[in-house]
Amino acid sequence: MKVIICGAVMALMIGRAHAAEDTHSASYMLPYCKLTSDQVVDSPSRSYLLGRCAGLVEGVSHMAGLLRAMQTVGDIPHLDPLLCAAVPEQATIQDILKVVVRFGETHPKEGPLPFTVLVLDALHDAWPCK
Amino acid sequence: MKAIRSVALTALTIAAAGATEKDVSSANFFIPYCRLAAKEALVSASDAFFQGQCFGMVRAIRVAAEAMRTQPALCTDIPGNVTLQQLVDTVVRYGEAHPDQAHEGFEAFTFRALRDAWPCQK
Repeated sequence: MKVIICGAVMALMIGRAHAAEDTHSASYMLPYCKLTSDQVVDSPSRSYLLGRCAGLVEGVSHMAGLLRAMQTVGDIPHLDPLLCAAVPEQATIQDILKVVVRFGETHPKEGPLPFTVLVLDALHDAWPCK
Repeated sequence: MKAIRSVALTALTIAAAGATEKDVSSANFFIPYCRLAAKEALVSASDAFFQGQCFGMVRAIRVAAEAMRTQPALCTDIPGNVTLQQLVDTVVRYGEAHPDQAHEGFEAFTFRALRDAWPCQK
């Protein structure tokens, strides 16, 4: 009986730890952004998270480009400079991902922040608007 | 980086076998992966990768939409309790209702789908 109670308590604790884990945080997502092909080819769940990282980076980068374009044509007169990034048109998703990973490694304090915030900060840091 | 290329290449090779050239950034390309149930997507690494990419992009567009609520030209009003799965379902349904727009880039298409579902009150 003692063993069952102990097991149940442990299961609850593990469940709680998982529930407390913020799957949208930078510290959760960044390790998946660094995965190599060998590490995902046999693991669809890791492959999913690598794809999710790439999708988040692409989405934020695209929206940063849209905001900048709208600012240029005057649709957005007062764009917060922190929301502005001038990602070069020729930059590939691989280039952008590299920038985000490097920024995450050098700014561990941003770990608890949403990954999308870290992505925008990384883009702004690498390619600030003039 | 290598991983993305490798998984994407595998998936692209499979897609190329379909004998039709697809724009791999279009809504047409992504929607079939967005539509997969988690169980189905986790059958192969390439399906899982593209489903992850779909969910990641939709999530990013949601966050951006929230940040841009003050811009009338870009305003959407997505309630806080809407889940990521519901957003993805909305994008898939929009694709079914507007197949003529599905050749567009997936990000712009997603943004339009979300604005259509949750427009700001004027």
